Amino acid sequence: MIETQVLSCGYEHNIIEALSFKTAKNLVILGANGAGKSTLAKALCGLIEYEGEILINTTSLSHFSAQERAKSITYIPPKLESYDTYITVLEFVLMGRHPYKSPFSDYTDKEQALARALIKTHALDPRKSIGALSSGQQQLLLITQALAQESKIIIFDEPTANLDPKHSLEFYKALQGLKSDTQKVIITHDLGLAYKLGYEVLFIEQKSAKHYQNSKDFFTSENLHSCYGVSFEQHAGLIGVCYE
Amino acid sequence: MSVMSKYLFLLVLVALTSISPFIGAIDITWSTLLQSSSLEHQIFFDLRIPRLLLAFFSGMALALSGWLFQTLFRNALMTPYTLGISGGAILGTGIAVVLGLNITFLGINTTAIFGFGGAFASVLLILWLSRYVTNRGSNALLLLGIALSFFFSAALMVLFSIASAMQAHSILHYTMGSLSTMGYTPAITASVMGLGLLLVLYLKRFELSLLGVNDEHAQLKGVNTKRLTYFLLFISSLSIGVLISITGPIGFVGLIIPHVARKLYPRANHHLIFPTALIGGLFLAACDTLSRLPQLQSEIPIGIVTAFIGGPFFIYLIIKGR
Repeated sequence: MIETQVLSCGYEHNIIEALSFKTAKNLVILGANGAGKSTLAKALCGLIEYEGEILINTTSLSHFSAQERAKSITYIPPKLESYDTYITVLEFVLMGRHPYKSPFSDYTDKEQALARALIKTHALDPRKSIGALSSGQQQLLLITQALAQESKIIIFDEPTANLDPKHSLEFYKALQGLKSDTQKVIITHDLGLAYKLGYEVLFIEQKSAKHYQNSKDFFTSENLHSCYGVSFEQHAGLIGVCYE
Repeated sequence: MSVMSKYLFLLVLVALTSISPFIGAIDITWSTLLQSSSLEHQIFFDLRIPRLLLAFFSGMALALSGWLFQTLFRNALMTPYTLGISGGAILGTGIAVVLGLNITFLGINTTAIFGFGGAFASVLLILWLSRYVTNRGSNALLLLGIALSFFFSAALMVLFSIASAMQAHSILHYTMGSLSTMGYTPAITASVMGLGLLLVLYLKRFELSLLGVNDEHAQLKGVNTKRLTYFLLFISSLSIGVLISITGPIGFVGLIIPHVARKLYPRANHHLIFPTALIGGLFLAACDTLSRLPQLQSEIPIGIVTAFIGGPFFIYLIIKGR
């Protein structure tokens, strides 16, 4: 469960201001570019400073150790950015098990086996270095690592932004492969994906936010128009911007 | 790099290292070495072997701290040297010399403490300044380091002008770096610094492998990156500061060796800890051999040898853009 109480955060200026919301269900975060979606996600994971209160599964985020926090909530960036490009796929996925590892010991055989099984499911080559993967494979790799991490809450930041349709579908399938008790939060501009998922919606705009507990309430033509300021057309379950 | 040239490179390093104690102003042969009363025997065991050990472990510590800085700041040009931390250590040692504080107390020399103090103060200064430039990338940090280096060398010039002729000479000699030593105390200190740093980095290899991706990634996997970074910077500035107080500044080892290790052994960063330590040790020992080749009228300061090899390599790295 995620709960924020008068949460304010940002970098030089607050982007999110006095946000209070609470949900135990899967969530889609929508909003225009620069509205503060990623900023909110980073605050929820303790990556940036914030004012107000964040509760993760009823415990204050500030009370978590770094390790406990990693077991509770994690964030998948839109793109893999690594200084070290020689890390192998297996090593990278194993890093997801780091919060469970005792300080100085190696990853156990059991964890290696778990990582290998996940890598196989997603048709990746465990020995390949991460720098040699295509951007679609890198996105898949990030998801595989998050699956290994088994955090109770996973935030995906624009997971399909860099993917072709085939990889988008693979992402969608991987999402279904997550344990049902994992709370999923998806930040996206892909309204088709958001509609198909049918999750609760948090729409963020200039320093305010609206929480829709029912996905259908968000995806009405009138509401979409008032949120985004452009018209949309719905056709056979697909939602698209009206370009005329 | 082909397999052949990799082995050739290592072979040259090992060969130069192993002939190191036999060459110099006095050549030592096996027959004279075996006579325990000979002068050669004494030179070999009291001067040459401690010198070899000092070179090896200093090289190890310098290379490892270069590797550490490159990993922590995720910038291929980052070393204690380029960040101005060596400059701080030199200044600290220079201050100790001018104040006439060359006292050994409980096995610890005051100049060593000042060397460490200078290094550590520069680390703190860099960290404090970095808060204002982090959003401008690690290259901004590098520029800060260069600015600090200039400032420290200016301060050193001021020290020169107030020092006596003898003190000035001793500082000048010191700033060129020297591995000449007598007895085993400096070698033992260097081995504690080199092996200690190796042990700490080995124990933290998993956290460091996470930091090799990026800072955010490490945090998301449960690493308290701030605490870890401060801890590792403290440990490395301790070892670098103490070493610099013994040998003087020896540049470029920390910069080039991690890259050489990666060329020889292309694996993820955290697998390079041992290769970096080993090649760093061999490299400095080999450079020391070159500095004492019998054809030379007098010894070349070790910092000059490493700069001769490291300077062009630095340019190569910049051009290659890594």
